[in-house]
Amino acid sequence: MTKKTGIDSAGGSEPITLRGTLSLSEGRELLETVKERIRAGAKEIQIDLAGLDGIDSPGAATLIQAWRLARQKGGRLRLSGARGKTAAFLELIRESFPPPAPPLRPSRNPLAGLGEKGLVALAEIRAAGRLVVEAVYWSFIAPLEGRGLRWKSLIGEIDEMGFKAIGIVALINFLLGVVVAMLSAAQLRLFGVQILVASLVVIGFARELAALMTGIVVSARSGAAITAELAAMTVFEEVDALKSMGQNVSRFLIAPKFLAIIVCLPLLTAIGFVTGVAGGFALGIFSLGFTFNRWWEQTLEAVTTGDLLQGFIKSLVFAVIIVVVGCHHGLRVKGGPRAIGQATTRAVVQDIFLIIVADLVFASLFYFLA
Amino acid sequence: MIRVAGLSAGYGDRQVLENIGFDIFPGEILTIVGTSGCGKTTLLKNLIGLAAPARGSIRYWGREITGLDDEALNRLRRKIGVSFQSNALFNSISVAENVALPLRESRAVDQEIIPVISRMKLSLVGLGDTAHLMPDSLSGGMKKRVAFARAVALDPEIVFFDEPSSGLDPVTAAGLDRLIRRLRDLLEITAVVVTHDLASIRAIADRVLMLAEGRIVFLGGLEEADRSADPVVRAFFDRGRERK
Repeated sequence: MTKKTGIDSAGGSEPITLRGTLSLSEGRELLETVKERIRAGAKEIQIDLAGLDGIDSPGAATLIQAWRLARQKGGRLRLSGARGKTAAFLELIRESFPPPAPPLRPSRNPLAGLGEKGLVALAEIRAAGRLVVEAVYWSFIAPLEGRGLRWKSLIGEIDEMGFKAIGIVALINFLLGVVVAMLSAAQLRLFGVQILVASLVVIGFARELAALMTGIVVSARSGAAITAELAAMTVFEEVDALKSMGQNVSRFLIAPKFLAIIVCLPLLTAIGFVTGVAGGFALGIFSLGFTFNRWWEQTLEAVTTGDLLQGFIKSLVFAVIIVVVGCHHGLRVKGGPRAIGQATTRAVVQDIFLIIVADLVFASLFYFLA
Repeated sequence: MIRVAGLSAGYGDRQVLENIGFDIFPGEILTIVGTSGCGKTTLLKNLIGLAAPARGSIRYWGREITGLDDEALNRLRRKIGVSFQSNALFNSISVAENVALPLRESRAVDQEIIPVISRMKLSLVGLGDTAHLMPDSLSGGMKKRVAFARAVALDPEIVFFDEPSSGLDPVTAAGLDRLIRRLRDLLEITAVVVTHDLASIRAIADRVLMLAEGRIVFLGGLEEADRSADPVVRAFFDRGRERK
């Protein structure tokens, strides 16, 4: 009595006969039979498919695997007798039998690779430079020539980048002010000059901390948003649509963001400065026991217009970095949704790195000039 | 195979489908047609359990699917394939990996034969040599074929095609029509094709279900549709003849 579905193998050079439906379990059995025959030294294995009524994908896949296995071992697997739908199915998938050729990868010389990376970096810097020039032109020069600015869009951007960031900027700077005051109070207590905490906090925030912290917060908040928005517009062909309508992308998309951040970041930095100093005040009055007037006098005495100017200049430079990096990565994105995420991550990391590099350059410059 | 009865569905307060009922028979190609906004996509989403109906019943092989939990629905979905209008291919992985994805997630087959099945399915749709490519580098028609290959990866019993020819030229669309018929014949699947492309409907449909304003206005063969006296059906099918 024959089984409805199964494999018959008498061994030797006799054909392996398949009956019924070839599914995964029969396929596994078939694969084992083929392996045994190969181990026994068979060079030609024949499989008779005449008794097959049907074949599913896993079954066909094991047939393909058996065929490849025989070939790898220098043997040959012959399929015969397929009929009806089985034959039609095997005919359609016949190009699956040879193993897929691996995609060709050009051999790379390490020096050539390095040079290539250098050229890519140069091209990126050139593209970013062109973006700055275009943004400056469409933000400041074109409106003077009567080539309109998109005011509605500018106001929207100011609301998004500036107004909505006030809370988080103020809170972070306030908390940092408290931390800086606590750290310095612990050290200055040893010398009995705890009142100098007021000077340290106000100078630190005027020159460095307000601009730096606000820059980092805005970069994480608005820089990421700029890249994600422009990258999504690029991926979904909205940028191409704008170009095809004869619109200038720099005027339409970049100028409002550029102007908005140039306006907002110095103002946010000012807010950060005030709240950071307030953090120091809070500690000085409520914890160190100084009077408001004493702390206030020391604060005013320590800070100069030059300190405030340093913070202001830095905030302007940080603003340019955030918007240029954000727009640059957003508009150069290629690929799908994953590329949007990657571009956004790259933009934020680069923003923070460049902000700290720029801060170091300014700190060195002012230090040596002073 | 599938029985829909008294189905009403919509979004929030807006009702899109109202009290509809029909059967889908094994091995047939049923086209769901109608003008834009008539409820085709809503019906499709309800049929594949991506949206829950407000009222009514959807039975697969006699089993009610409305109200099933996610796990039970996922078990059912392994028996159905879906090719989305936008293709919904993952751009971050290769064409072969896209097709292999349902196989890997279902754990129904041995891991080592998954790449073989994936390439086989790609061969089935005529794209055996594109396995290593990324979806981005394919044409619109090729992306559709990859989506078809992924839809049939798990050897489903029923495959839903959402607007398979949208945005494609007539020659490519006709090729896809032939492919749907071939897949149906070869894999012995039941196909439900949501479309408004009259040329496709005429090329592939065994039966036509026409929706208008959330109701079924016609259900039957193409010849019957051509003879229909219903003004909505006539307007749809006559327009096809005018264009010819």
